[in-house]
Order: sequence, then C-alpha cells, then structure tokens
Amino acid sequence: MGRLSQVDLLVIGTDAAGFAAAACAARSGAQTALVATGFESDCDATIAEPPNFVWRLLDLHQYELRFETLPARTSYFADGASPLTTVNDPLAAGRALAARAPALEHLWSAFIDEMSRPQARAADSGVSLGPGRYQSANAALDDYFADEQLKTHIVGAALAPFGLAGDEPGSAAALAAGYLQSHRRAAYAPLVEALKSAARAAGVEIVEPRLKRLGRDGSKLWKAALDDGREIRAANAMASSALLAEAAGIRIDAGGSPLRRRSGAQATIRIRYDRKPKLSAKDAAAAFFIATDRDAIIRARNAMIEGRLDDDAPLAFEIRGKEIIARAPYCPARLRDNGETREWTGQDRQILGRQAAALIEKRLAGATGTPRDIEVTIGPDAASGLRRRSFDVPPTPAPPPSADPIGAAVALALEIARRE
Amino acid sequence: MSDFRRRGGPKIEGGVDAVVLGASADALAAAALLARAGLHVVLIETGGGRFHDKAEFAPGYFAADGDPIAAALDQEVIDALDLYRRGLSFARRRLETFVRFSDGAALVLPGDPEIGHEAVAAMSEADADRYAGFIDAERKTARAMAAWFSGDATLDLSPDVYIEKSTASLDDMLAGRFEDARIFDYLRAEAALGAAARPSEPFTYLALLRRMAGDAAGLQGGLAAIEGGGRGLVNALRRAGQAGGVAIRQTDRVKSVIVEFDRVAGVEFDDGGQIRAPVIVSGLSARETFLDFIGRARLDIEFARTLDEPVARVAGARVNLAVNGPLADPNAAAALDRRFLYAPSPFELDRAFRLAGEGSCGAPLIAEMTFPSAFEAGLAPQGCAAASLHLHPVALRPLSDEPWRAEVEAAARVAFGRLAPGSASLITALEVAAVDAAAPPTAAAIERRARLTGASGLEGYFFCGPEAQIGGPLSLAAGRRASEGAMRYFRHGGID
Repeated sequence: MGRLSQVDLLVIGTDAAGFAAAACAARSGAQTALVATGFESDCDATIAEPPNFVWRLLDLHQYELRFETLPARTSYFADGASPLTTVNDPLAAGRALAARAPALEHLWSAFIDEMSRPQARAADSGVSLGPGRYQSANAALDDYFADEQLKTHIVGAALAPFGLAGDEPGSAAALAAGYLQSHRRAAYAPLVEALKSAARAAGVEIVEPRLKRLGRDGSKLWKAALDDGREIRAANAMASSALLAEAAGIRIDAGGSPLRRRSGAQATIRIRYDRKPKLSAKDAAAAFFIATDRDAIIRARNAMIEGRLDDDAPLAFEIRGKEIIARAPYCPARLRDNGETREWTGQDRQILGRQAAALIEKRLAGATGTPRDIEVTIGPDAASGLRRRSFDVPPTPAPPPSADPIGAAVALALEIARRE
Repeated sequence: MSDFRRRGGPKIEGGVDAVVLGASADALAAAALLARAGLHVVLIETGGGRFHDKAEFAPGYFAADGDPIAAALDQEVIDALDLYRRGLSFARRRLETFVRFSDGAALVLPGDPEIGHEAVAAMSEADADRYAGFIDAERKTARAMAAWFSGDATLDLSPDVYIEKSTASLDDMLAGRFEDARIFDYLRAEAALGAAARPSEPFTYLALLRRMAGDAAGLQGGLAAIEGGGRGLVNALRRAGQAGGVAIRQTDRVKSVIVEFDRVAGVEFDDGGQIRAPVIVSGLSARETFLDFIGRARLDIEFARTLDEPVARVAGARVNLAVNGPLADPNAAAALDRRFLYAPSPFELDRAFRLAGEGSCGAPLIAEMTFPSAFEAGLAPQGCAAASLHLHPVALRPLSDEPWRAEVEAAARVAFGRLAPGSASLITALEVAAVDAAAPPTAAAIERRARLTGASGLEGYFFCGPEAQIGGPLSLAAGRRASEGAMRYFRHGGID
C-alpha cells in the first residue's frame, strides 16, 4: 500500500464547504489535503454566499461570482387557501402581516429579533446549555403565534432544510440557525469551481481517489485509506459537513447540534420547462414552500422515517429562469414496501418528479410551461452511514448543520489550524 | 375565649415545623427525614400518588399497587431511615431480564450488568467483547453522573464528555456499534421505555446512562423486585415516619398554601382551618404545588412558564393481565420471577411512536412485563399468574376513553404473545390500570427539576413531586434533596 503524503489537516468532503475550509486552512499555514467521500452532489441549485472573512481570506473578488438575494418567502397551503409571503426586512414583513392580525406587526419583529440574538444562535453550535435548548420548534412557535399558516410558513423556511418537522426536542435551535435571515445566494456550480481554484492556489492537495476508510495509526495520526489503495496521514481531520461524513460512515462530533439529519434524505428535483414561468419578476424572486399545515409536515416526516413518501409531502422550490429547482425535504432514503426495504428505482424517481411538477403547476395556477425534462437526485443518507461506522476511531470534528455551511466549515478548519 | 372560637370557627393549628403534602414515596421520605432531624412534621396525604392495597382486577387475581421493580433506590435514605429494619426487603435482587426480539429470538441477561457480555456471547460471539467494553465504559461515565442525576447541581465530568453524552441520540451512540442489530434493539428499547422522543432524536442517549447509574439493592445498574412492590416501600417509609413522630393526616381538603411576604407560612383547608408552619414540602405534581396551591399571580413569570411546558402526546400504559395456566413457551416459562422485555425492531418502534403521536396505539411496541404473583404469594390462583405489563409508547389519553382502552388491550395481547409465544389464549382478564405521560429527555428533565426545586421565588417551599424525580418514582432522591433543603432553611432561621 503506497503512502501519498502526510499533512497537518485532512478535510473530508469536496463540496463547497470542503473546498472553502481546505483553502482557508492552507492560507492560514496548515498543509492541507482534501478528499471526496463519494456522496457529494452538484445538484444543489444555490448556496448561501460565503461570509466576509472567507471572501477576504480567499480573495474571492478575483472570480466572477454573481450573488442574488431572494427577497421573499412564499408558502402555499391547501387548495383554495391564499399564499403567505414574508419579505426579508422584518419591519416590512411585520407591516404586511398586520393585515392578517394587527398583533403580528410587532410580534414578527420581536420573533426575528429573538431568533437573531447571539445567545439563540449559540444553541446551534451545541455549546449553549441554557434554557430552551431542549425546546421543540413547535412549542416555541406556539409561544409566539396563533396563526397556523404563519407557523407552517416558518417551519417550511427554518426546519425543512434540516429534515425536521418541528416536534423534535431541540428543534427550536433551527429557528435561530439563520434560515429566516436574509442570505445572498450564489449558483452552486460556479461557486464550487471558484472555491476549487482558490484551494489549488492556496496549495491544497486535492486528492482524486475517494476516501475508503478513515482510521488512526499508533502515532495518533489520522490515516485515510483511499480507493486506489494509497494512504494519507494527517495530524488532524475534519469533515466539511456532518451529513456527508455520516453518509460515508464516518463517526463525527458536530458539537452536539440537534439539527443533524438522522433519517431520510432530501430529494432534489430539477424541472426544465419550455419557457419561463409567467410570473412577474417580483413574484418569481422568492423561495417557495408548499405544505398543507404543520400536521402534514409531521406526517411527511413520519412517513419518511418509515420508508414511505407521504402523498401530501411538502415541497420547497426556487425559480431559476426556465428551470424550477425543487427540494422534497422529507424523502425516505430507501423505500419500504411490504416489509422489505429497497433502493429508489428510476420509476420511483420519475413518479416523484412528476408529482412535484404537477403540484408546482397547481400552486402556481398554471403559470409554468410544459416540463421538458425532470431530473431527480436523492441526497446523502445519514442513517445507513451510521450503521457502517467504526467505534475504534475517535469522532471526526464536523461543523454543526447551519444555514451558512461554508462559514461553519471554515470556522472549524481555522480553529483546528490555529490550534496547531 | 373569643366569640369566633365559641362558635366553632375554623381551627388554626400552630407548633408545627414542617408540613409535607402528598402521599408519594418521596413525600413520605421527606417527612420521615425531617422528623428524624427533630422537626415536628405533619404529613398531609392528599392528591394522587397514594399507594393502595392490592386490588382484585379479576376473580382471584390481584394487582399490587405500584411498579414492583426498582432501578434506583437512594441508599442514603435507606440508611438514614433504617428502612430494612422498617420492613423494606427485596423479593429478588439482581433481577434477570428476559429479552425477546422481533424475530422471536430470546436473550437472558443476568442481573449483574458486568457479566451481561457472557449472555451476549451466546447470541453473537463477535459482539461479546464490544458489549463488555461498551457497558464497562458507560457504567463508569454513569457512575460519575449518578449524583447529578439524583440532584447534585454540579457534575464531575469534562464539558466535552457531558456535551457528547447529553446531546447525542441513542442512534448516534449505538447504531453500528454491534454486529448483531438485536443488541442495538435491546439497548434502544431499554432507554426508550418511558421516553417521549424517538431513539433517533437528540438528547435521548442520556436515558440509558441514567438507567446504568441507578443503584438498587447495592448493585449499580441492577434491578431489584421490592417485596410488596411500591406499596412495600411506602409501608416501610410510613413506619419510619411514624417512628420519628410524623403526624399523618389523610384529607383532600387542602385549599391553598399560605404565603406571607414571599415566605410560606402554612396550609389552609376548605373549611378555613390552617396549619401554620415555616416549611412546606410538596410531593404533589408541579401544577398542583404551584398553580393550584399558590396561584400564578404570586409566582415569578419565568418560573410560571416552566409550569406551562406542553405535556408529551405519548405515554406509557400499565396493564394487568390474568394468566390462566403455565406459559406454553418453555424459555419464557423457565422462570417468572424475572423481568421480561420485548425489544421491537427499529421499524416497529418508529411506527409505534408515529401512531402514539397521532393519538392511537400500535402494536407491537416496547413491553416490559413482570409477574407480581411470582414475587408475592396470593396474587393469583394456584397454577395461574398475575402479570403487570408496561407498554410504551401509546397515545396519552384518559383511562375513560373506551376506544383507546380497546387499542391498548389489543396491544397488550400482542405484547404478551410476543413475550410468551403460544400463551396469548391464557389471558382470561385484562385491565388497563394506569397511564403515565412520557418523560422529556433526561437532560431537559434535569433542567426542569433545577428550575422547579430552586426558583419559585417562595422561601420555605420545597418541591419533590414527580417532576423532581429522574429515574422513576421509587428512587427517593427527590425526597431526600427536598428534606435537606428544608432542614438547611429551618436551621438557618428561614435563610436557605
């Protein structure tokens, strides 16, 4: 077995967060290698803009990156119910919500303010052990609001990306995790290319073969066995994302975050139409969410755990020109029929894609064109990775799941690099 | 004598140092400990939690009140009150656990957790060392956490270890650890019994450590069957209290707790009568203790919010079964004086949690069964057995809800059939006896306990109700902590 190299830090995961973390660690002086898990996917449509400190460290202004803000979030509910839209500016959103109930004008601002407080944010890192740490998101929302549609809207924005339904202990942390805040977003693929270039420029050793096994040798070095039989040894190792690492069967330490996805997977459905949806630019510039109510979200999460796709499963989507990128956050990673578990087939994907397209067309009242092509990708499956873990190896640090995955991964990489 | 007294007006009683409210084991322990310290104590047995004598639930079959199994009994209380001399005894120490899995396989775990790996080896040789290593390491961690579980404010554990253990889900810590998935199923069932959250949800792992930290009959992590069940323990405590001079009164007429200048000053009854005392200890539920007897207006706003925390939608149900004849399955029938546990597969358990959350009751689910008639003679006719089944999770419903009872009864029959295959037809009678709301995650329960026992803003008021008990109603630690706080307060002239 050949040895490839020995480095200060091995970053596991070649997603945007992995490239950024490796590049920043290398820039801060650590000899860094980056290896893929094999569970990375390029189907993400957009990703939150890297925070300023990453931008500066990697001189990202050198790359032609375009970011845009989705100024609004719109939720569609049951047939016949009016959609609900909130804009990112809390004051403006409060004023708009006052039409539903006058008290919401102030409650909304107070809620956003409470969720943005540093103490609440700390809960996301798993370090804060203060009151409310164990609270469910639904309990927190019930404290604030009576409007069921508004609560469904918030769960869709804040919890669905984590695969949570709102009744899980600790899920209130998702409300503080930043999904309700305004984030500029970039198209995923160009950003990954830019970060990959930045990583190369910083001297990161980007290893082509995938990680096969992560272990420790007697000298307390991490030992990464690659697909091609070679090995990398590293003084430190980290995962770029908790989900990727767990799907790869790596035992992780994500600082105790309650937001880790423990079951099911997120499906990404890319629908290409023959024309742009007939919506005004203002109406189209939103993050959309479809769910009947919070009970429907819980039903979908429960069905996901049991290996079923609920008929009324929620869907999130964004409009990107002629494409709609939809996400089904409560998808089973494997399907269960008649007591047997099986993988997703092409036909299953096709059915999911068609259902999603039909639902979107219905909610947008026929504003979409004719679907030309539907592509469905099932995201990483943490639960099956959990069953392959080795307990002989200490847990690998991973950033807590966050609305700002690049910032979280880079912060962890810098902390490790500076500790050295 | 005043006109008021001559007209037979309400009686105001003084000269009492402490009033203890409630009839639970912890309330009795607190009363007995305070009396032993020299305080004049009046125990008012009121509200729920009172243990009754055995009741006939079917002709010739009796149910003993309370769970016969103790997982954590506070040794300090046993020693201080000399409970063994007062009648506390164990029908069986080091109780074996007979585990049945969804595939029909059985595992008999010995009463001493330290040698459990020997039984595991018979089922999965590859896992014997892993199981031994896991249990050994986690029992050490559990030992370090034992005082914290029973009420100490500080925890002798590094922050990193604490964060890992307290935030992890059972699946985080257990999935993939053993080759044989049934060991995973067993540990999951053991920890999820009584819990409100699925084992895949965060903060659930600590329940397993709590279970391992327990100490019953002098064995860490072991289980013991108390002679006479919970009633047997309560009788010993009552004797200890009476020996120390505790005056016991039984009434449900307590109206309120008297508060004067943020200090409690006694209790008032429906007829206007009062018992004046500078110290009150309550073993009643938190809502009764603070909302019914004090009132929201007198409580700190943040503290009152603690009392408003939503109750879990899932619960555990206790079912009594009349079993007419010996069990058909020779493995199960080999001994009835042990604990039986059905460990569902992850799929079965997830389904059961879903149905419970939806207000229903699925089957199979986690089932813990004992045969009280195997520990105490006279509970069942000769050659027959009385069984007590704890089913979890079911929907939280009142016992009067007939459709729900029918579902629970059906689940009980399924559970009994799984635990003792071929014997379901032996059930001649079945009674859904109690339903208990599921517990929040252990760390959350500990945090809630800290708020309830320390932050009401009322001096002289001490709490040892069910919300202060971590690890079952028979642990007595909450009663001891409350009595210690009360004694400190009393001895320092009302300054805690």
